[in-house]
Amino acid sequence: MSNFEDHLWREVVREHGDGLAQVSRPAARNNRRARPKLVVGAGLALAGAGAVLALVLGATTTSPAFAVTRNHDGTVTVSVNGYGGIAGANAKLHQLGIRAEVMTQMPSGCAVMRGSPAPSPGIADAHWTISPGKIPAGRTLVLAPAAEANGGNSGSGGQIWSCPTGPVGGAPSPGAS
Amino acid sequence: MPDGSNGSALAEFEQIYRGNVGLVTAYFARRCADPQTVADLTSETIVRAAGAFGGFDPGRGTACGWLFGIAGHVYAQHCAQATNGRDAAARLAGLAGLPVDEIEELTHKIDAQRAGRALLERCAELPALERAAVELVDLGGLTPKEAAAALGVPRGVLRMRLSRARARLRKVYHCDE
Repeated sequence: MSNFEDHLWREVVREHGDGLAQVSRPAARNNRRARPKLVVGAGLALAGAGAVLALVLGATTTSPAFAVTRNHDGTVTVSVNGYGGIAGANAKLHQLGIRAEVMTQMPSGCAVMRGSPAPSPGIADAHWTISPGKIPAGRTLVLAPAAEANGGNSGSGGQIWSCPTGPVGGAPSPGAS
Repeated sequence: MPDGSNGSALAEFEQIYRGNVGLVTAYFARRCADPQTVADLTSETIVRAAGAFGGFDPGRGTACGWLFGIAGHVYAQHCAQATNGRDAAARLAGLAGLPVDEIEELTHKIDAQRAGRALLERCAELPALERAAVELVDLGGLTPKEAAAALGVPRGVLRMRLSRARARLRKVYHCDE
């Protein structure tokens, strides 16, 4: 983010952070089944689409805010349903030691992964399947839906991006699982 | 699902902020040539969003569309109050007198929106809804669904108005989309 945007966030937290912390968020009312929209391998090997599909669809009849699922072929499927799932998904990825992060704004120095799929249209029901063992050393994958990525620094569409490992985004929410 | 737990509301809002503040700033940079005004209107939008966050339901629309709806109200109020010689934005104390580097950033952002301002001027003769549709989708990068939510109209109406607006612009200016 720019200096102004960082500055503004600090001021918002300083003056309104207590109020925000007291906000009681409504429970999500989304009863749609989870739909796999993106199926790729992070190392650009396509994942076992059938297996992933079965796992995601079989998970539940309601859409969780996020899911990080290990597939039998070694890939991992990350599903996010709305902004409320981002922190949890990132915390889970961090817990599993996977250098990948869901972000809505692209940090600088990133490059889109060759063979990355068509962008997910939004943060609702977004899915990515990655191969953690094939993430290049020193890189972190950024999983970004198209609409949000368009508002980021890159001005490019969504898909999966490879970024230098480092503080590419906010710290994962420690309480999420 | 998310939750209701207090700490995560702030984390969720931060994700929304980081993903969309650039779009909101650009929205005002297309309208205002003064960096401080852009800063004030952006901060006013974010503060109002923070205050209304408890009522925001991602199941009913995206955060991006929600924020643009607030930004539209903030700008309309700014114009109305500016007509009466009053300052619309309730400035965050910490943003009074922006540092030089942030003024430069916002000045660059304003410059970068020159083409967007030109397109808005071309749209001046269009009905308000068509003008807003062109801006949100073609300049702001929202999906038609998000733009429809931000403008409070059905998606089909938005698509029809957007199509009509683009056709009019092509006819008048003989330019491609």
